[in-house]
Amino acid sequence: MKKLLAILMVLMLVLSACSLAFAGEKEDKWAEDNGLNLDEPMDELYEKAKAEGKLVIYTISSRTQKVANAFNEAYPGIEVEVHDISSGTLKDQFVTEYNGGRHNADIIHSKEQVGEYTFEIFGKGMLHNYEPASIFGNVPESYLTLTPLMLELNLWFYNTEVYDACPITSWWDLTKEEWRGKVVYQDAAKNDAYCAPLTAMVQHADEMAADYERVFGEPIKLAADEPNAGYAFIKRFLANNPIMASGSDEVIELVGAKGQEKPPVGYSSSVKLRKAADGYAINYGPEKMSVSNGIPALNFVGIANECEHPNAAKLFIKFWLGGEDGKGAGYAPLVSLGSWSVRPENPNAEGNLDLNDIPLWEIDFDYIYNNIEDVRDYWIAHRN
Amino acid sequence: MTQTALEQPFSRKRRFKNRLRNTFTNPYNIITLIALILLVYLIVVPLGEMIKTTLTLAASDLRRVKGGTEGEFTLYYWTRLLFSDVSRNLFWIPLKNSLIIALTTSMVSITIGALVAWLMVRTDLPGKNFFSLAIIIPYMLPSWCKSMAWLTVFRNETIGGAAGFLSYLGIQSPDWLAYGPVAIIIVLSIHYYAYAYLLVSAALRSVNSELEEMGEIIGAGKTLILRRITFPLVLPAILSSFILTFSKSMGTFGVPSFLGLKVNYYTISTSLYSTIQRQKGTGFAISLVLILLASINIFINQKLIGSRKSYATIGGKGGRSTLLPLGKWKWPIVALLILFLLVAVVLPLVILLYQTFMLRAGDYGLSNFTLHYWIGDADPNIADGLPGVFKYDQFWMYVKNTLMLVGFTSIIATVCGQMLGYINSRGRQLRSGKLVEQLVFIPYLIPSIAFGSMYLAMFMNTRYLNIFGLSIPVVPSLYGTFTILVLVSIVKHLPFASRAGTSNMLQISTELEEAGQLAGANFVTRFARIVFPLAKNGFMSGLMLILISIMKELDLIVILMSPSQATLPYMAYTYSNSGFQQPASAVSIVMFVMVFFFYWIANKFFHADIAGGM
Repeated sequence: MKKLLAILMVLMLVLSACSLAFAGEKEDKWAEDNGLNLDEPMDELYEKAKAEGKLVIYTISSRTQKVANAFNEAYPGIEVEVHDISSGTLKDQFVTEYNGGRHNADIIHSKEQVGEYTFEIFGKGMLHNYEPASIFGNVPESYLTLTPLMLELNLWFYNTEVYDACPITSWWDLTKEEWRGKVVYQDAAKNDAYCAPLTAMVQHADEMAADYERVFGEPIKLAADEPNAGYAFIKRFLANNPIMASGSDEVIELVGAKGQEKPPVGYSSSVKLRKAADGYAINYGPEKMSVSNGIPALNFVGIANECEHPNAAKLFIKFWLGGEDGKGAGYAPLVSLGSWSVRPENPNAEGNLDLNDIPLWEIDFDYIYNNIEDVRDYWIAHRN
Repeated sequence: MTQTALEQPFSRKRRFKNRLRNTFTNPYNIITLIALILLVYLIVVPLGEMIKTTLTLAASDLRRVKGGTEGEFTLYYWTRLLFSDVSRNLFWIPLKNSLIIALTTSMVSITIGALVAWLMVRTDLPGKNFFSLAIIIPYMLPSWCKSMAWLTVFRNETIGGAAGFLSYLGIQSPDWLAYGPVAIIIVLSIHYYAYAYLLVSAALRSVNSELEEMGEIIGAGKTLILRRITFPLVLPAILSSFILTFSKSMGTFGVPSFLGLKVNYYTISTSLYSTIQRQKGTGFAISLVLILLASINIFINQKLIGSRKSYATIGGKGGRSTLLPLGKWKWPIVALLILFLLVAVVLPLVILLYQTFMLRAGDYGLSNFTLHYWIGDADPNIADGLPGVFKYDQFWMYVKNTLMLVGFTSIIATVCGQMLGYINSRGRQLRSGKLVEQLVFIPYLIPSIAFGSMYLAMFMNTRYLNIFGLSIPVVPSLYGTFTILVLVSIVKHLPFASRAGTSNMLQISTELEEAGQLAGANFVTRFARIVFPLAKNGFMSGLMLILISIMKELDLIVILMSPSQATLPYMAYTYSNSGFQQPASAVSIVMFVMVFFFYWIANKFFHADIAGGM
């Protein structure tokens, strides 16, 4: 055994001598040289893109292939490779390849909710924004920290067999005795989409406190281990025995399975509303939810630093967002219930709620990124 | 009297030169050297890498450690795990839960296993041929499949969702039975009793029944004989089953994940899984604790068994064995055994199979019968448009992935195992042989989920070795590739493969090889023409057992998996987590049929004994 230890020590020394190679510090210059700050017309980009001949996309959505098919019809001569990768591994895969000097991907499409891409990837120049005015001119400033594609929300779902309308209208309802053990959430220790709204609550603790008073008719009394009303909610919510599902689909299953007498309510991705067609009795009713339904998850795109096909990438992003008038074939696959464009010009799915009718907190990646880990720890410390 | 150097019969120089040449041309040394380098690279380095990660500050944790810089030495992860606000829920409570589950499961499953073994070996129980097969079937159905079946039966209103079978009949099973520790312990026990059964029955078979008869002659009753003669003789086997069951239940992930997470009941393995996705440093620290616990367990066990590892139970006078008559207890015991097998073996399988025929989960009536999940075309209104498994291109891809994984892994692992066995058997007395033996043993100590996370630490990023300003890649980035799945499965199964190889090689006397050497055959010829043909049967049986074990593997690869490499167990796990119970069950059934088929081949053609596969 001693020998093993000795070997181990030597190897540790060797390994600690290893170092990861980081790219140089020419990222900004590369972006400028390749015109990422320009707003070239799409025809001009097409000519340049044809010379590049190819485009590689890493995406978290299976719908991106449909966009690529439409792109091939509109702009023949550019081979588009779409890699559908789960959101959990996409970031690791891109960073791994980038650090290894392999510039495989041109466009990265993923979801930002907690600022990790903003600070750890874009902040280091590994990805670049591309926000030409002809496309993004009318998009609200708060969505432009990353090049936005569309928004998804997490909303509270209820069982339509039992309830006619959403039975909860405030997060504080979930701490009431009548909802004990009847709320489906996901483990915020593991899933950022479920930790981010809690972090926003801590940020907007004053609003949470006011809402408490509205619901219970008296001001909130904070215990010693409840630094503010946001944290107080987390603690009391956990004390009410929520059920922890292992994924969005499971939330829908537990909430929406037919034939239940006392079904729970559950927080799940808004795009899952389509499972209503799948035999689940589900709907959401976010308009009356106070103070807010949470914070949106921003589907963004980015152009990889030093990628091989920057012009094809620029053209594809313009096309994806529906072209200059926003009505093009590129955005069509994205039109669906439960997802919203940030561009006013883009079409909205039939029956989709107006985004402005859904109470939401504004995205503040800076706050979320720097506080989410504290909130996560508070969550872990207070789960049962 | 002086002699010139030339005339000297034993020149030092020549002797040294010969020795040197022998050292470098002796195939034993070459194989040992290669084996040592590979083992260090594949076992010691990943372990070291994991330790290093727990002590190095990652970029994403700079916001937690004010004033820190990326890559600097830190105790943050260990402090967070052991002495912070979250320690209680992240570590201590899961640890307590794991210990309770592992201890209780070991006791229950060893009691059941040992009793059944005794019945099978020592008594005149009727229908032994049938029972001997039926009793090991649980081993072929992975434990997480059983927990899926468990949920199908006991799922109650508390959690919501589709009704369980009892709930459908109007019986509400209590919460403590549906989810949490009791459910986990029961499911694990009806899985792991197979280990105790196999080990204890092997031990009982080697006990000469004359020892018991002696007791009878001097007038001891049946219970006294059992207590004072039989039990002490099989105690080492019972203790070995204890280590095995204990460390397996400590490291098991699938069952507590299915039956515990929804109600916030964490074990050390599920805590590890949920932590590692967010923060590698803390996650790896949990892995290391798990490895430490497994090592302590084995250490204590070795001390306990120590000198009484084995009794000389085989005397010179024939191993006659007289069976104990069960008398009036015969039929009640048979009935009890059948009942047990129904619950542990038949019921889970039937439930899973039945579930695949239910159009909507939770409706057990005949009107709900469908073949959609087997042969249906895609229908956007059923299971998110998932077609029946046999109509689903991806399903065949997963079958292919699974077969490729088990094919590559079992062949390579077995070949390596035979090589290592060769080293072990030929170099037992040498220091190098012992070192190889010890290194190979390490993966055995490490629970599957921790082992997977170790490989994640090692092969996440490409690593360069900086020598004089040149950076040479020494560790490729294998995360998300098929290679890493093969690699981790091979190394994890090396302890078994090399043990099988050793016992195989020990049977082949060195005389045979020496004869070949005298006739002028070189090492390769000797191995191919003498050793391998003789070792063939052991080779095949070892291969089949590894193959079966990898085919149902979930815990080991769950952390390393990426969607395009998914195997059947992972697919069933993902489906089940997405609420697609029927496709999950269908995939499990297919997997079980494959495992059973391979076992049948192994048993029929290569006389493989599943007891060897542990």
